[in-house]
Amino acid sequence: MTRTYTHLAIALLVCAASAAGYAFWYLHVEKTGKKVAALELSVAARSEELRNIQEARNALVTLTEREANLQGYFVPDAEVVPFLEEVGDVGRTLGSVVEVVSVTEGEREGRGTVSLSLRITGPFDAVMRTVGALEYAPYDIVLTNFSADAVERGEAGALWGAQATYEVGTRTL
Amino acid sequence: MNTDLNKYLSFLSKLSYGKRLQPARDWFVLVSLALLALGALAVVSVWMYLEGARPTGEGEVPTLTPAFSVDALDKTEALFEKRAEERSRYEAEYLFVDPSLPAS
Repeated sequence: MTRTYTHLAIALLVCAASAAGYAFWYLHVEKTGKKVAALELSVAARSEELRNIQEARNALVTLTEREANLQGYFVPDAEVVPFLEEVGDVGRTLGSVVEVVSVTEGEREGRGTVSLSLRITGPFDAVMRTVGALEYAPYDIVLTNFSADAVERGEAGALWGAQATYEVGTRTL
Repeated sequence: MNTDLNKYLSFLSKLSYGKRLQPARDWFVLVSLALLALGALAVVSVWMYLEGARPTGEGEVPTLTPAFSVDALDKTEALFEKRAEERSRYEAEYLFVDPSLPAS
C-alpha cells in the first residue's frame, strides 16, 4: 500500500514538473510570439511608410512637370523677342501682316506683364482670325483693346487694319 | 450527530483506494483527467487565438493624404485646353464675312 502511494506521489511530482515545464515554455513561446507580432507590425508600418514616401515622390515629380507646363504659359522676360516673332508667324499663317507698334512693361496682381500693341493688316477674315488666334494663344494673354477699320476698299473686299492691344503675363527666369 | 459522522466516515471509506491494486481504474482516471486537461487547453488556446486575432489598431500607419490641393492646377489646365480648342476654331472653323462687302 505504501508503495502505491509512493508511486502516486512520484507520478504527481512528474505530472507537476511536466505541467510547470509546459507552462514555462508556453509562456516563453507566447512572449516570443508577441515580440514577433510586434516586429511584424513594425515591418508592415515601415513598408507602408516607404510606400507613402514613394507615392509622395511620384506626386512631387508629377507636380513639378505640371508646374513646368503651367510656367510655359508665361513668356519669360528674356524671351519677349522670340514671342513677338511667334506673333508675327501667327499672322503670316492666317494671311495677315502683324506689326508690333509698342511693347510696354506692366504689372497685374503682383506679376509682370507686357502690354503688346499690334497693328494687324489684311482681309477681314484673316484679321479676325489672327486676333482670335492670338487671344486664345497658349499664353496668359488677354485682349484689352481692339478696333478695326477698312483702310482700302476693293472689289474683292476691303483691306482691313486693326489695332489690338494684348496684355501678356511674363515670368522672370 | 454521531450518525452523521458515521455516514461521513463510511463515505470516506468508499473513496479509499482499497486493499488491492486496480491498474485499469487508475489508468481510466488518469486518461480522463488528461483528456479534461487537453480539452481545457484547447478552449484556452482558441480563446487566446481569438483575442490575439482581434485588430487593436497598434502599428497601423495612416494612409497618405495629400497635403495640398491640385484643384487649381486642374482648373488651369482645363482652361488652357478650352482656349486651345477655341484657337483651333479661329484658325480653321470660324468664318468672318467682310462687312464692307454689299450683302448678296
